[in-house]
Amino acid sequence: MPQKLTSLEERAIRLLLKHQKKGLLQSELWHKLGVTSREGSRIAIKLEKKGMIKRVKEFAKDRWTRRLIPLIREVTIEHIRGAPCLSCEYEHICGKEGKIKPENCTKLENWVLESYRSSSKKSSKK
Amino acid sequence: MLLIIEKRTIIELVSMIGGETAGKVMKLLLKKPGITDEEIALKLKLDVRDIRRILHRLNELGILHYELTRDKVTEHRIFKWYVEEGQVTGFIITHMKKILDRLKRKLENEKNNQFYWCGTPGHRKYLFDEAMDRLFRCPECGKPLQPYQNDEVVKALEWKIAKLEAFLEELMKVGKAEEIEEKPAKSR
Repeated sequence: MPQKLTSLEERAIRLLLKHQKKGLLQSELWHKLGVTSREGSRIAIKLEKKGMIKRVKEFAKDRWTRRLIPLIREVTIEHIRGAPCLSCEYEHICGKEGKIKPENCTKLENWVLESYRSSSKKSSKK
Repeated sequence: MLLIIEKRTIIELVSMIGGETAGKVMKLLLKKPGITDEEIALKLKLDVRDIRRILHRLNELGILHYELTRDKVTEHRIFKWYVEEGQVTGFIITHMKKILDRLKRKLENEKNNQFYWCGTPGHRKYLFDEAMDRLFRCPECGKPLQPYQNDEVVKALEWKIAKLEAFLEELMKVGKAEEIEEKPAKSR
């Protein structure tokens, strides 16, 4: 995490990251965190001050409340996991003007094929 | 808007770059910033030269930096190592873009050409002219080079390109929003 956070703040951020697009109603978040609304509001205000979330007013469940929307994104390596390029000895000379042409790279092709096949298997199981 | 990265992602990334030992080194560095190469070697029970090789490689990639001090008694140089957590996100994005570019080039090549292949996994495929130059025999295993249907490769490349583009687009949105949010603050 880029800034120092308390463990509760960090848990709140992790939960909010799971709902990146719509965010969570603050009552839902407090419920998941197991804290009181008073404690929860303090956390939300602190996170807003740190620029990590946005608190948007919303009418839900017969009352005015706030929706907490995360302003942060997590960078993962999910889509390049297992890619041969990162550990390839020819990495620095591979590309448009390099000596090595990615068009002929069998490692790159095998990686893409393997991840495509395993993803197809997973989706067919579901 | 901010981009964050989990420590386990950094360890996984470094393991991909430099192997399992590099991953262990990174785990230690994240736990104890400012640890020296000798302390790492002692903790992991490995040769200090191997540890230094890993540390300097990661330093070249911009993932680590060091602080140089001298031992007051022996005057030997002491390297204290730190992780550049902020640089790791940039490193990942740059590499994703590089891989995306390579995949796009490969896709174009696959779509526009007919290939000949020996059928041995790991052996490369050849264009018609290249195959003819080799008298339609694989130079690696000697098996005949047969026309190869690359439909699955094309599908796999299109799928991976779409995934990478969507992920990068999402991250770029974060970057743009950050610029927009910063502008009014600057004008005040």
